[in-house]
Amino acid sequence: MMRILLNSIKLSQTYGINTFIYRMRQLPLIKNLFTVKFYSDSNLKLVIRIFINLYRGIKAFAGKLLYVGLMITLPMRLAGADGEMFVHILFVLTIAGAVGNTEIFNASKEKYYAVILMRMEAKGYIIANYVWFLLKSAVTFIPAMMLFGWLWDRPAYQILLMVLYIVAAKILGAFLLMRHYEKTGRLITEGSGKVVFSAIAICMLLAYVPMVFHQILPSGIYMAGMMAAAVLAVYPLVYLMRCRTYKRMCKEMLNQDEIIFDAKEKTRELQRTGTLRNIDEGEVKTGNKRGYEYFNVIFVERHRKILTRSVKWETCGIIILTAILSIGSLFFKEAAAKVNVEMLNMLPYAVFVMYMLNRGNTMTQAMFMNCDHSMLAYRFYRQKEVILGLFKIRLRTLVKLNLIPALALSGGLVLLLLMTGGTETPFNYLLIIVSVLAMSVFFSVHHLILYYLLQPFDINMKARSSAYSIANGVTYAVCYMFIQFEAPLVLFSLMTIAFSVIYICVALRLAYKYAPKRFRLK
Amino acid sequence: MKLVLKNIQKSFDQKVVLKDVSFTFEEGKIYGLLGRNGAGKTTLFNCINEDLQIDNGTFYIEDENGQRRVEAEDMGYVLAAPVVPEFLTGREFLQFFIDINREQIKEPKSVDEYFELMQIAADDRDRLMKEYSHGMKNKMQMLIYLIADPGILLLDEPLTSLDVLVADEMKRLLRTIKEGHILIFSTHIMELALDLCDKIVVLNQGVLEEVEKEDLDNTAFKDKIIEMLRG
Repeated sequence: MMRILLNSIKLSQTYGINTFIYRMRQLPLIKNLFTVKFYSDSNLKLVIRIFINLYRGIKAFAGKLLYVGLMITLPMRLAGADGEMFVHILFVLTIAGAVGNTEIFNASKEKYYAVILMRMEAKGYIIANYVWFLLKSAVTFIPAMMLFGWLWDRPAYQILLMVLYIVAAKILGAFLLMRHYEKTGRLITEGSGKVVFSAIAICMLLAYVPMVFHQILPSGIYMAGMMAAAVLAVYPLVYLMRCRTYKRMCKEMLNQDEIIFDAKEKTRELQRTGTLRNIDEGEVKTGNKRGYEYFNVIFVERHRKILTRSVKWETCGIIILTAILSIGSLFFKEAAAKVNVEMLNMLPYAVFVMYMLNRGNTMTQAMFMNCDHSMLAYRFYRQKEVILGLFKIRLRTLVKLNLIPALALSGGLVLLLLMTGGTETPFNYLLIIVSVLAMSVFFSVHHLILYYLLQPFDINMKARSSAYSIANGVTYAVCYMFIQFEAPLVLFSLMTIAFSVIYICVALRLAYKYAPKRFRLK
Repeated sequence: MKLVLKNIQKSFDQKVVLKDVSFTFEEGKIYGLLGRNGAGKTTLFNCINEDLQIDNGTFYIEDENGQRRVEAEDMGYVLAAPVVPEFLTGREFLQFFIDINREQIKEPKSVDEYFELMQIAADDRDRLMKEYSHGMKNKMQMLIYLIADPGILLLDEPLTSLDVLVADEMKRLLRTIKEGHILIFSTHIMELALDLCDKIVVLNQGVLEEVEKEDLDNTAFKDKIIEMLRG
């Protein structure tokens, strides 16, 4: 067993080292430091190996500290609970962990490499790694439990019992899942299936709801439960050690295609299939459109679920909200007067709302995944005049699409201002309308420009361009900051309008200059 | 018309893939491009199609009017892994493609005639291409280039994913269109290359070389090719 364990740890480390070098070689500037030689230089690899092991070790301990800190201690502090609650939350959350983190049922890439690709013996591999996993869990939980247990005045024997219980619960969880698989032939892997998800959700409720009401069972019951779990786990542990189903289980578990991806790749893959699913097969009206206009109309129509239809919902939402607030202001005059004053300073808030309403991000993502990703393989599609022509058509579509909710919002704001008492300078109404519309156009242009100039994905749709992510993150952060911001209407709206106009002009100029060169698959 | 490559060089990091590629491809012939795995066949295609920037060298078209740059409409590139826009139906894709190339297409046919040509069944024509199989996507991609009719056609392992009948049909089609075209066909399968191609060129150690058939019989010719592939 020791040999299998060492081999599998070695494999996992090699994988970790190579992935690390590979990732580094993808980063701008840093990639020059990491030449191909790194893969073969054993000294350099040793340094990386030490570094990775240190990182993994720290991550394991820190992970437990974060878990106990964020999931148990923090909510307790917020709710003003006492030490008894610590045992309750840990007790219930551990049940969630027992089904959500079993190791055996984790369809990991490491397992795939070892069992399927390297043909290591399944039972030996699983058991060796499982024992290692249980030991690791116990060892890494001890410091976290000691620290936080001590903070909550838990006696030492209780802390030890809780650690033992965590390990026992994991064994029981894996045992039950294994029995279920053997009986029904249905595999419940970690992170898959509604069963695991609902079990975790129920445990979360059971853990935190009693905290709100300060109602929990007497601590003796938890202690008894933990001890019972520890005793009950002995047979399941023996069972899991002797079980003969691992080979079949591995074959089945590691063959579900999507499972061999790591979490990030998996999300991307899901995103990709998700975007593909957004294609609506229904009928499409193209009128007498031809060429790229025809192409674009079909694109929009086929994506109506995420484009036109969501715009309709957004607009309806705004209209209903406006109606409710307007009618409300008739009845609650006092509140209405306050709103009226506030509204003249609240325009910055609209920036964030406009950002959230904009379909630009969704549309560019669908454009890439379902259209440009394949079309860019054709050379005619990469011609300067084609790129710019289609850019114009798309910009028009996106601006039009986003103007619908923007019109509703600006109309709504004006109506609300009127209903709550109006304003002395009628010019304000015009400013609201123009600045909201300007923001809408600004966001449309912004999203499309980012897409055309900073290609978000590479050809395999795996690596996200860092420049694009940064630009997107900054946009979000800036828009979010506007929420905290109050500014007089006249000043703010004039500034927004000026900014939008300047930005749009500059951005379009940049697009015309650089898009033909930059809009490529990388 | 000739496609002339002169001293093309391309490296990735320190790895030299194309060391010094010079060759002249002539109209009316199908060239079989053979090379071992990783020899750089796809890299060469990507360079000629300007998907990759070459490090050194030049390539151009030489015709009765002298030398000129290779333009987008001169070149078709059928990829080994075919890609088509998933949100369109086969019919819509063809319609769109015919629309945007209306001026270049010499003898336009109806969309259904094109489908017939590729033996695409009637009930597949109005399905979204996201549901198409690999082979179907391949047919669509091939069809696009048959319609556009570029002077040079690069084909990267195009027949491997097609069923026997369609592959056979495709071979026949390639033979009929070779007049007035330069077809460069990359493959691993020597028999296919010998069967279909008029000339065999080998890419080995970053250099492109023609294998002269002279008066060798087929077995001797094969031996010669293998000898050259070994380097």
